[in-house]
Amino acid sequence: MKTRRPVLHILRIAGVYAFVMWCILPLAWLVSTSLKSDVDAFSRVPIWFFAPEFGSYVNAWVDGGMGQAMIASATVAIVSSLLGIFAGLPLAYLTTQVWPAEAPGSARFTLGILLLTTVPPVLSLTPFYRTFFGVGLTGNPVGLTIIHTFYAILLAVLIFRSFLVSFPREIREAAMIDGLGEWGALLRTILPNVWGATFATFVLALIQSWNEFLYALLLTSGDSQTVPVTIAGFLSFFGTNWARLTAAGVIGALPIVIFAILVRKHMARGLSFGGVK
Amino acid sequence: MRITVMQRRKAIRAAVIVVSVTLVGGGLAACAPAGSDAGGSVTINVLAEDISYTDNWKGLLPEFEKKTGIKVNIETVPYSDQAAKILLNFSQKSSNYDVVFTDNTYGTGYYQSKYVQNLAPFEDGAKDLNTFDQFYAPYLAPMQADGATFGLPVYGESTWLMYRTDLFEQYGIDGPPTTMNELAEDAKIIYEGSGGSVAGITLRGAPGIQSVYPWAGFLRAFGGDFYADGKLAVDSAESVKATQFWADLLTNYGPDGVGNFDWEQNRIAFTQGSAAMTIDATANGPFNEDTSSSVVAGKVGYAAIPYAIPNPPASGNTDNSLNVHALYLSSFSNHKEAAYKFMAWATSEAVQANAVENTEAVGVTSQSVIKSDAYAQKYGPFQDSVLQQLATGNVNYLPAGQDANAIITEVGQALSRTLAREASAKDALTAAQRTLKTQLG
Amino acid sequence: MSAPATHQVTVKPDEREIAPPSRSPRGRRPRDILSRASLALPAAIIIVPLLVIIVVQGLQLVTHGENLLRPGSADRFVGFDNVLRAFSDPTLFGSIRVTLIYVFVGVGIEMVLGVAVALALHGRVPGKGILRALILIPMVLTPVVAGLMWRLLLDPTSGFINWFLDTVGIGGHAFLADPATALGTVILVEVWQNTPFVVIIVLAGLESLDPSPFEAAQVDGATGLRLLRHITLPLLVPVLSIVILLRVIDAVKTFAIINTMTKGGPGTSTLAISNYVYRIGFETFDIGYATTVGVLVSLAVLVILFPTTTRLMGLRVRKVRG
Repeated sequence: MKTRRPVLHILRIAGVYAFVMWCILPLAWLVSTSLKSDVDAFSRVPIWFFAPEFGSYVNAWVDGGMGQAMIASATVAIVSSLLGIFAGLPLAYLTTQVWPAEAPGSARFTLGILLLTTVPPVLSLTPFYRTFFGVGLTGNPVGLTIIHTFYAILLAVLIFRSFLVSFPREIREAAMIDGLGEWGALLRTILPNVWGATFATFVLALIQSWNEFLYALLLTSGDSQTVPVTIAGFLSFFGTNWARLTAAGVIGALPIVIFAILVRKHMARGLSFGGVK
Repeated sequence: MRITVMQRRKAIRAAVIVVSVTLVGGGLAACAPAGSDAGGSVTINVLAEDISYTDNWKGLLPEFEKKTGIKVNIETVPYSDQAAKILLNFSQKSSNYDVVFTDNTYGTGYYQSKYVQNLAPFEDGAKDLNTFDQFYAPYLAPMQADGATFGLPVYGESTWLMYRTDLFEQYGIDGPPTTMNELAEDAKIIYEGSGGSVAGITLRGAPGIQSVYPWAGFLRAFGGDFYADGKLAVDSAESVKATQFWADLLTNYGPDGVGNFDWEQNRIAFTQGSAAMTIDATANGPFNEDTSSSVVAGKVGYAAIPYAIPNPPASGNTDNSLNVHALYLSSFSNHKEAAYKFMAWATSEAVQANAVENTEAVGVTSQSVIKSDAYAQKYGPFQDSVLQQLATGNVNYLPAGQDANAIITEVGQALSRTLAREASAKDALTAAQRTLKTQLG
Repeated sequence: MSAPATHQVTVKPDEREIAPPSRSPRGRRPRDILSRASLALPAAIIIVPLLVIIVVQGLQLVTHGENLLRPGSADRFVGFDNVLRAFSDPTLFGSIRVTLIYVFVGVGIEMVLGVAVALALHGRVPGKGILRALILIPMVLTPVVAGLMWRLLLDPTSGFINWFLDTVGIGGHAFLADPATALGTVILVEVWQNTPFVVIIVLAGLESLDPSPFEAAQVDGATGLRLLRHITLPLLVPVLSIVILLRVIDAVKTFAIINTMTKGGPGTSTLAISNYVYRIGFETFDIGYATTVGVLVSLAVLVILFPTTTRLMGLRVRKVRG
C-alpha cells in the first residue's frame, strides 16, 4: 500500500524504527552489562564509555560450565527435533493423506494434538520425573530428550498437517498403485515437497528445546545440565556475579538467535502452523 | 518391476532403521552417566550452592582426587530451585547425590525425614582430614540433635545492624539505636533531613525467605516467636505488632521498590549509599568494605539489633540469627565413606584457610581459621562484632524441620501482602495461620 | 517405473487393472492396516506412554496427601480432599484472576501493536530485511534471560530505566515492588517478548493476500483507514484468529518471566497459576495439592478453549456423520 502523503509515510517509517529499537535496545544493554565490571554495572548513573572486559565470558565458558551446557543443550535439541520430525511427519501424513483431512476423525485428532500443547509443564513435571527416575532416565540427557521429543512431535504434526492438508491425495494413491507402500509413498512423494516445512519444524523444535527450563532443571544434572539451567544456576543466595550471568545469557542466546535469523524465511509459516503461506 | 519396488522398500526400511538406531544410539552415548566408574575408582556427586566456597573447592579438588582416588562431581543449580531438586531425589530414595550443600533450615527437615545421615559413625574414618571438634562450636550446633551430628558447616552467619556512621554524625545522632523506637526515630530523622533522598533504612522485602529472614529479628525483638506453647502461632499479638512496625518502617522511610528487594538488591542499595541503615546478614560486612564496589567503605558501623522489649531476653530468644550452610550426607548414597571423606576435606582447616586467603569467606567455620591472623587482617573492621553476634545467635531463629518451608512461604506471603497494603498485618497473618493449619494439620 | 522422481507418477488405467486388489485405495486387508498403523507407531511410542504416565501418576497424586518432606505421606489416601481444598482456596482464585488479566491485556496489546507494526512494515521501508531479522530476537530469547534482563533494567537503585525516567524528569518508580504496577510491568515484558511473533505472522499474512480486492477498492476510491477496515482486516481474519489462539495457549502457561522477575509478588499481585502451582509443589512440597490445582486449571482451560479452537482453526468437528 503506497501512502501518497509524505508526512504519513515518514510517521510510518518512524514508527517501525521505534518498534525495532524497543525490541533490541534492552538487548544492547544486556550485552554492554556483560562487558562491564560489577561496579560500573551497578552505578546509579549509567557509564557510557568503558573498557570492555571479556573476562566474564571466559569465566562463564570455563568455570561456569557454559561450554559443557552448550554441548548438552545442542545434543538434546538436535536429537529431539530430528526424532520429532521422524515421528510427526508420518502421523501428519496418515491424518491428511491416508485418511482424508475433511473426515471428522482427522479434525478431532488435530484438535487433540493442539490441546495437548496447553497442558502446563508444572503439572506433568512430577509424574514424568518419578517415572523416569524409576527407570534411570534422570541425571542424563535421555529423559529430557524424550520429553522434548514429545513436544517436538506435537509441533511437527501441526506444522506438517497444515502443509499436507492441501496436498493432492491423488499423488499418494498413484504411488500406492505403484506398490511403494505407505512409507515409500511418504518418503518418495511427500517428503521432497515439504523440505521447507521440515526445516521450519526443525528450527522451531530446536528453539523450543533450547529455551525450555522446568523439565531441564529437574531431569538433568552435572554434564547433562542445559543452558537455561546453567544460566539460572548463576543466581545464588549471596553474591550473584552479574557480569558472568549476563555474559552467560549472551552466550546462551547467540546460537539460537543466529539460527533464527538464518531461517527467518520459513519462520512465519511454521510459527503459525501453516496459518499463513 | 516388482523386485525394484521390493528392493526400494527394503532400502527405505533399512534407511529408517539406520537413522533411528543412530539417533537413539547417539542419545544413549551422550547419556553415559556423568562420571560412571572411571577406572574402578569411586565417584561421588555433590549438589552445591553456587558460591565462593564452592569455587574454592573446585580449585583445590585435583589435590583431593589425587590423594584419595575419589572423583568428585560438583553440580550447582539455582538456589531457589535447589530444595525442589534435592527433595524430588530424596523422596525417590535416589542415590544421584551423595552430598548436598544447603542451609540448616532445610537440613534439619531432611534429617527428620531420615533423608540424611548421622555422621558420627564416619568421623573416625576421616580423622586425618577433619574432626567435629575443629569447628567453631556455635556453627556446628544447628546440625546436632539427640547426640547425632548430621551436617558439617561450610559457612555460617548471624544478623546485625549496619549503619552509616557519617550520616549519623551529620544528622547529630549519637551512636546506633538501642531500642526499636530509637531505630524508627533515627530512620525518620535521616529520611526527612535528606529530603527523602536517603532512605532511613532498607531491608529485604521480597516474598518468601528473603523477607522472613530479617523480619524474624523484628518478631523476636517484640518478644514473639513462630510457636506458642509448642503450637504454631504466626498470628500472635507480638507477631502482628512486629509486622506492623516492620511494614510502617519500610513504607515511611524505606527506599523505593523495597517490596521486591532480595538480598542482592538490599545489599546494593546500602553499598551504593541509598540508605542509612540495614539489618541483614553478617556476610554483608565484606561487601560494605569492598572499595571496588561500595561507596560506603569505611563509613559503616556494626551493632547488635535493638529490641522493642526490655533487652536482652533471658529466655535466649535473641533477635539475631544463627544460620549455617552445611554439607549433608544422603542416606541413599552408595559411597558413604568416600562421600564423608569429601565432606571432611571440604570443611577442613587447610581448605577454609585457602578460602579466606583467595576468595570471599567471612563465614568460615573452622575455629583456628576464624582466630587466625589472616582472618583478622582481612575482616578487621568488623571481626569482633561478627563474633559477638555469633555468640548470641539464636539457633531457633527460623523455624526448622519438616514444616519450615511451608511456614516461611506463607509468612513471607503475608509480609509481602502487608507491605503491599493488600491486607492489614493482622488479616494477612491470620490468613497465613489458617492456611498453615489446613496444610500442616 | 524405476524413474527416481516418483512423486510425479501419473496413474495409467492399465496399471490399475493389473494391480492386485490389496493395492486398491479402499483396501482393508490386514497388511494395509498394519502398514498404516506403522505410520502412527513412532509418534505413539513417545506420546502414549507419556500420556499414561500423566494420567496414572496424576490420579495417584490428586487423591493422596503427599508432601515430599514427609516420607510415607504418599500412601495417605485423601479422596476428594485436595479438590475440595482447591475450591475454598482464595489464593487460587487470586491467581486465576492474575492469569486472566495477564492473558487478556497481554495478548490484547500484542495483537493491536503487532498488527499496527505489521501494517507499517508492509510496504516500502528502508532496511526492511535487517529490521525483520532484528525483530525476531526478543521472540527466540530464552525466557529466563529475558526476565532477568528486565529485572536488572527495572531495578529501582541501579537500573537504567529508573535513571532514565529520573533524568527526563518523570521520576523513577519501583515498578516491580508496587502492587499497582507490578502486574502491568510483567505484562509489558510479555508484550516485549511476544509482539514480534504477531508482527512476523501478520506480515506474512499480508504479503500472501490476493491483491485484486485492493485494486478494485482503490479504483472505487477507498484509501487509508477505510481500506484497512473494509478490506485488509476482514481478509486477515483467519490469520489473526490463529495468532490469537496460539498466543493465548502460550500466555496461559506463563511461568519463566514471572518466576525470574517477581516470583509472584509483591503480595500475590503477579502470582499466575503456573507460578502458584510451582510455589505449592516445589517450595512447600505439598505435591498432591499442587498437582490437583494443576489438573483442575488444565481442565478448565481445555473446556474454555475447546469450542473456541474448533471455530478459530476451522476444524469444525461435525456432530453427525454426513
